[in-house]
Amino acid sequence: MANNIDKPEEKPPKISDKIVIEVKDLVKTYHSGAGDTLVLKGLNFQIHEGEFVSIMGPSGSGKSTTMHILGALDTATSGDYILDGVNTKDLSEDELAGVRSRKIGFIFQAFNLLAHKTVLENVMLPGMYGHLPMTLRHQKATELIKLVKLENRAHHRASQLSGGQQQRVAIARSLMMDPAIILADEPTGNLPTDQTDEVLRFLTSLNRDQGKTIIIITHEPAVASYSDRTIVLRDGVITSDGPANRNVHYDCA
Amino acid sequence: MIALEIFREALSSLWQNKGRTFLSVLGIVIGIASVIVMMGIGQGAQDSITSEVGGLGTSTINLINMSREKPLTLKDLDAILANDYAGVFSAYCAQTQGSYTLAAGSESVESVSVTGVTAGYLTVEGKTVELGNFFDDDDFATGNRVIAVGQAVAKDIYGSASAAIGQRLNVGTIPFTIVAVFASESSSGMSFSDPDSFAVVPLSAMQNSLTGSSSLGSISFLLTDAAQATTAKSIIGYTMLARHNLTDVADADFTIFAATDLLEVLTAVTGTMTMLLSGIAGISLVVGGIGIMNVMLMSVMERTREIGLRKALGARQITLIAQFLFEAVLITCLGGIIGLLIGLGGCTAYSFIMTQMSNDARAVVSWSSVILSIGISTAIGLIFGIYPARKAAKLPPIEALRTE
Ligand SMILES: Nc1ncnc2c1ncn2[C@@H]1O[C@H](COP(=O)(O)OP(=O)(O)O)[C@@H](O)[C@H]1O
Ligand SMILES: [Mg+2]
Repeated sequence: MANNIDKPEEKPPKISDKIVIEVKDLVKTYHSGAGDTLVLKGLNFQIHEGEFVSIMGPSGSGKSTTMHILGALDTATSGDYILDGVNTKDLSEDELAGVRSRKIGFIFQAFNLLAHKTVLENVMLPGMYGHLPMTLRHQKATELIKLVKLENRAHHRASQLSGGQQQRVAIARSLMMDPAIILADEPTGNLPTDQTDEVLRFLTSLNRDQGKTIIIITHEPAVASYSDRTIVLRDGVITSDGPANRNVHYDCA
Repeated sequence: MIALEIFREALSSLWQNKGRTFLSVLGIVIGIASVIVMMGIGQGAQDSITSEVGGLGTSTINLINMSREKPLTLKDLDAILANDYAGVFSAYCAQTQGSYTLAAGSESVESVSVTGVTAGYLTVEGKTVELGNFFDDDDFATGNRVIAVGQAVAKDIYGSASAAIGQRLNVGTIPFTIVAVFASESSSGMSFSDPDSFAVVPLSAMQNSLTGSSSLGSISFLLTDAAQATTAKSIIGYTMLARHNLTDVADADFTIFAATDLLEVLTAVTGTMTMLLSGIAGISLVVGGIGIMNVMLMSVMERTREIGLRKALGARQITLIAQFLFEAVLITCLGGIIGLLIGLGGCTAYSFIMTQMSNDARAVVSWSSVILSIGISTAIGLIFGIYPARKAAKLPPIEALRTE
């Protein structure tokens, strides 16, 4: 077991004054046959451009629900979500599709690749929906695949890759439209420890070198320790919001 | 996004999921092929009944002798014709028939139907002479022992039609001279005997040389107009009742048979066939349709996650619906063409097998069945290919992604 892993990014984050994400009194209620479940009980937070934020909390506390709303994959029951100065409430279906296409790269815990498509095709897919010309799409996807070190797997089907490789494909895919914000829901939850470190280093470098705003969900302190700020959720309420504890190692997780 | 790009995505999606595509196409193929074959078999059965009915000749009426005491004679014919003020009968033929062994030299054929006829025979029965000359007035009047034979008789005894002309032929023990050979007739599906195995002699010769009696088996009348069958029947019926001193039709010692009577029965049968046919078509369309519906529903439902994911990656609803529309169109077109070919092949195979089994049944492909089956299958394929996709595309991405 690796211990005392060096955080490679000892350079500080470049956080601007610009608020890219603002959440006000965010409430989410699920309606089901068994009745209504109040999952988010009024969240308030702001995230600046260039921040690397982790969201922590026990299972069922509402982390994924929050992330889906931030990613425009779901809508809040009440409250406001202001993205880049625009209240998402005011956006049409097609404008929301545009947000998902251009502003946000989403990384799922379950990878969510199209199993029958090749690595290259999976990475290129957001480029098609984002209207990138074919040649540019191809060139960009090839670069991204090189970046996640899968160039010799480009023409393999997604289903033929290991979990860590699939998640790297998913990361490459999330970068296809060069979004300013990367949302990752337990991106390392399904990965063994050595691959976890690789993925987290990569995300950190995106933050430090490219200034991307990154929000990552985890319940592992060791994972959260890569971030600069940790928001803790418990039963749909924020119980703490402050600088991340950067001195946690894998053997403590 | 341009349509071409969506179309390419639809194509690659079908290509990359060959198993699923194959099953969807198969569902449509089975639906369309089974409808075409089922409707073809039904249509074929109906056509053959209709042609049987058509071949009956709807404008003849037969008066059939049923009495030993007061047998039908030529006097009855004269009386009936005397009562035909309206001129409903255009031709007539008195007949009496028996079964005889025909022999010449060492060749013989047993149990051949030999009929004594009057001059209207060719017209009334619709026969044509292929070789020689049919009986002349003298033959009919004087009872010359001349005979006209069917193709089968000529071939069996003399080897060919031309070899038979002018030859002697013994009917039982009485010698006749062959003056004519009838043209060959195709078998009507309804009789099992060879239609060319028969012989005809003048009624006078039949009565003088063979039966020795003046009684007739029947008289056939050809009507000027098939619509006058009822008038014709009543002329014949009242003449005969009067001649037999009867007042009640129930006591009649003769039978009047009109082909139109049979036609009514057969028309009813055809009506039932049409109903049956529509039923078969309806059921096969429903069965085929449900098959197609299931296959399309299943393949789209299992792709709800995929739809959610594509939305999460930035796809707009309209783009996704267009992709599924293209996929459904490609699948139904491919399935439609293959299904049509298999359906046509199935009909041909059915007809071939039936021919081998000497059965009259055929499978007849009609444009209406092709259009109906392809139209309905395509509509079902498109509706159930697109509707669930549209529904999934309207969900928030995360809900679509969550479905199992
Ligand atoms: N679609 C849904 N319908 C009903 N309840 C849901 C749904 N999704 C999540 N929940 C509930 O909401 C709560 C929060 O879920 P989630 O946001 O996934 O938590 P976390 O990601 O922190 O583990 C849980 O109690 C979960 O059961
Ligand atoms: Mg979760």
